[in-house]
Amino acid sequence: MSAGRGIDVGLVAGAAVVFGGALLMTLQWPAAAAAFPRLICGLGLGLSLLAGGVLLLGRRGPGPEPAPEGDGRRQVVALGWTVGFFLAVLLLGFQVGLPLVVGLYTLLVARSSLWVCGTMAVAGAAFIWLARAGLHLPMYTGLLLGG
Amino acid sequence: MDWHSAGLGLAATFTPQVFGGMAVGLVIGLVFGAVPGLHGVLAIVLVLPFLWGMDPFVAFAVLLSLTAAVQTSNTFPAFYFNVPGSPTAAATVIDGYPMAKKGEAAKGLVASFCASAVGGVVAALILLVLLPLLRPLALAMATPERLMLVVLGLFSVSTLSGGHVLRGLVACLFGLLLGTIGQDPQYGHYRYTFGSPFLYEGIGLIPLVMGLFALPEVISLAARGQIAADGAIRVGRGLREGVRAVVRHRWLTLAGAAIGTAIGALPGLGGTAAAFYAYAFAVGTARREDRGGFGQGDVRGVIAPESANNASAVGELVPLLAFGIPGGATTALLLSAFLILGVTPGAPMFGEHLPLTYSMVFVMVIANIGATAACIAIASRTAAIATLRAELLIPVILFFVLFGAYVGLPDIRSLAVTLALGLLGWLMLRSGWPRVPLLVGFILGPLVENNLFIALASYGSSFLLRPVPLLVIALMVAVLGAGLVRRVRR
Repeated sequence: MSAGRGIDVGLVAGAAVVFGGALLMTLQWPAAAAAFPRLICGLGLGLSLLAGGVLLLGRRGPGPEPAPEGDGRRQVVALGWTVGFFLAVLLLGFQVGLPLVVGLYTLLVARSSLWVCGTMAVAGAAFIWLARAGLHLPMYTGLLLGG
Repeated sequence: MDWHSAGLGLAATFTPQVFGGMAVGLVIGLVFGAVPGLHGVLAIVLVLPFLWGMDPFVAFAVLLSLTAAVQTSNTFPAFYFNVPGSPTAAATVIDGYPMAKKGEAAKGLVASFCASAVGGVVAALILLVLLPLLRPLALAMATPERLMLVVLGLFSVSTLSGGHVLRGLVACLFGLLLGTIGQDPQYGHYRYTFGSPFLYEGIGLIPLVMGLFALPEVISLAARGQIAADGAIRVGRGLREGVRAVVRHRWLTLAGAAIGTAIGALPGLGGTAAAFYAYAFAVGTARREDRGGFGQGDVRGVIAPESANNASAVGELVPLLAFGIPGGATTALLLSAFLILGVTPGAPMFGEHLPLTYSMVFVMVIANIGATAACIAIASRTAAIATLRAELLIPVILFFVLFGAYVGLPDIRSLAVTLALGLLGWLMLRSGWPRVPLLVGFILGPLVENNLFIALASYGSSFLLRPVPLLVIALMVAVLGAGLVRRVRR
């Protein structure tokens, strides 16, 4: 099974499970509040099962084939870095974590000089500081630094 | 025409703030259009969080100028690298790249920029003429008709936005389901909140948009690892030749504008389809002995699609303004901007917000001309785009995605929502599932539910037997039936 088809099957199955689960949850709600979600979930479940049936019959349909950009390993690495950005913010907050991971990415992936990495990190930190001062946003400080 | 409102709109447009907004939008749009891998949708997504609290006249000046600039500057990569700067420039590649290889890049680029300006301006003028006709239509719309038009919009976007029809419909229904998270608008019951106060107000538009659209594009760009493969193309001379080409083919330019406006006004088709229709029109209307140049670097193959895709961006405003129905990803994001700014599309755009509507049309005219002038001015320097490194863009974009998602809803859990939807969007992108129906479903879901509730309370289920609902249902059944018959025959 190709990666695209595997993802296709996973998405259809996931959609059926989500719609089915969401439909079950509505059974405990007042009828008026549940009416619209039930309508959506009923239609969604039916169409997901239909889409699953079409997939099982091997008919992918006339839609455009996805264009894989970069090989699978590069995709996974890129996805890993994206998750890394989130983890950095979660653990160290916006003011420390985000500039740090920007600098690290520039150093390790872009293979830029320390001067460029430092400039990027400092520019990021300055932007967050300015936004915090200007927008009066309560900036998240991270799990490790007291968030 | 309501001259008083038009005058107010004009006065509101010619202010330093609105011109400042247009300048910002133009600069962002030029960059995101000219650099392959970045595009208009990503640009609007990144700008959206900064619109909170902004004056609607300025905010729409930023967004519409950005859209016009992207539609114009996305021609550069089509000429230099044989790749469209955004999908709407795909038809331009067919003749653009061969022109550049022949050393006619300057002529082709100038011709495409001028055609873009003509397309955008003509479409804006058509919209200006249509406004008085749309007004009574929007105001006369009763709840059942409004509901069914929104449903038709959802159906059109789901079935026509690329990908398999079933996948589009499932994505749209998933968007509708996500839109029901939070407090039920009629009775106040909490739905799918799992007892978390974070979800009482729903999952938030900005995290959804950032996750679904920005993150997958960033991952794709990072995986690709480069902006373009080859930038060794001579720009050459030919500024005058480009202008002359548009004057010589003025009827084709105008036809492209008309095609673009009409296609843009139909939800779900959008600028890419408009550009290819215009290209087909250019080939089809050329004399038989004169068709050989198409695909080899014929300037007509550049003029027609470029005029059409700029016109389409304006045409897409027709259903958005009149009925609140977005035609594609860009207008779905513009609809998000409406919600962020507290402006209700539909009938109010022809009542209390009529000056804003006129201002949007004026901005489109000015922005299209401004984008053309800017593109011509920078044409000779844009080959340097090839030297840009994607690796340096990635951290900057990710920075703004995370920061924007947080600004939109200052809670660390909004980043978790962004990441989860980013993973979903990446999977959808990898397997060819359309993401626009999900976004449109999410945005229009509350509108559908409210109108359905009012229609049922006022008319009972017999509202489905009124002429417009019957017509819409028949249309949807016919579209699905025709698709099914076609597949069975195959």
